[in-house]
Amino acid sequence: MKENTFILKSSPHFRDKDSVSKIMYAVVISLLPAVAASVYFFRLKAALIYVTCVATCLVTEAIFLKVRKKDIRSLWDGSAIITGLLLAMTLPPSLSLDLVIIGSVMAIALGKQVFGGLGYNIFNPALVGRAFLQIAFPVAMTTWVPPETLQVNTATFATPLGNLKFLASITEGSLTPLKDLFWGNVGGCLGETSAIALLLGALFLLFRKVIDWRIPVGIISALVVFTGVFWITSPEKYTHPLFHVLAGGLLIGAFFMATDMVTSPITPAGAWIYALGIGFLIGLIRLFGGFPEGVMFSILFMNTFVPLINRYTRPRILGERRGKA
Amino acid sequence: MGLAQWDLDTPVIKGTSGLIAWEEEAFPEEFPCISCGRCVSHCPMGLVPTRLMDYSRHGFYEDADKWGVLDCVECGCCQYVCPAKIPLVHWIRLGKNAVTSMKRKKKS
Repeated sequence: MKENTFILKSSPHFRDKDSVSKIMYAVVISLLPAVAASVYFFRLKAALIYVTCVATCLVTEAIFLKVRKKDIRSLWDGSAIITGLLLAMTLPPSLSLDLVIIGSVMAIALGKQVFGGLGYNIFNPALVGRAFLQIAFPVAMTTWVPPETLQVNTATFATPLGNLKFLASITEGSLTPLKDLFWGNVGGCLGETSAIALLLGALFLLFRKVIDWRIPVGIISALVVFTGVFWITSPEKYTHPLFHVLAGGLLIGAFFMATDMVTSPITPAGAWIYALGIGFLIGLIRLFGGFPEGVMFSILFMNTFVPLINRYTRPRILGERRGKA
Repeated sequence: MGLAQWDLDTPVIKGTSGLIAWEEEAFPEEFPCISCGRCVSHCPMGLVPTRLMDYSRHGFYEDADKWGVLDCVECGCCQYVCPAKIPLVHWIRLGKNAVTSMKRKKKS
């Protein structure tokens, strides 16, 4: 008599302790400094947007999991929470909450679940939600309010990059000071204003090896080179690269959006191509495009190329002759 | 390494240097590949394990061959580091088998 009492499993039998949920929650933790900074700068409104975004994302995700007859436990793998947080960080603080809800539903539904859920999406879900809002409600998405900590008595207010693009701030000398950009005492989207808080979170992620260092390094260096060339040739027309690095959504984009594992290349060479492409496009849109900011569209644009990049950057197999495909 | 045994009647022979058994083997919950690229950066042979796994799993053996599935040495590094707990080596072994028999058939 034979009883099959063995569980058959092929080697290796030991596993690293890291898991998808641990990675996701590490990203959530790394975003907390920037979340705290934005709540400090924009007060209650910021907190409300964060809560609405995360809650809506979780609810949408739950509905989709139910409809697609998937395991409801994967709701808590952390990916929907990240999408909610990241989307909230890219929204202007003055946005009304019903638009926030629409954006969050779109982020999860159009950005993630229609492709098949976690791991199958082509575009960064948070940026899909933001792009939808940007195109459907352009006025609401570009109405900025000054942070509570900044004393200004103007009815209209612009982001540092908006200032640069639409006002003659270089010749007037009214460019936003770098110190304010660094600490975050400027107008802009919730999470993008404080460079120091974003860098703190990014350091944690780099230390934890959650994100690929090549991507932020590639993006920032491509942007610095691109804007630097124009700054050196005509400094009266263009501003210096450091301003471009600290202003707008570059840091959050480079460290938290572009590095999203699902939508970035898996090969090291691919990561370089992807990152340099994003940096170059950001520079192009910021200097010559119609928008003051180009991080979102650059990342989404390069996202579309990721499957192609993965296909054409196969690493060299050990022992394979160079140049022979 | 080594071969998984499913039967207690398997004889212990001269070449058998050890027998490993676990009391309870928990199967970790498998996630979809989040393309973190850890398997790629850890593969000592310079392969793309997640892609080979995908090809083998869905029966694209010719593509798996093109991406060098036969060069895999089954060290298991990719499966160890995989945060999604995908049995990469399991699928790659399957792919290797299928590719070899495919090639044998072509020859004859």
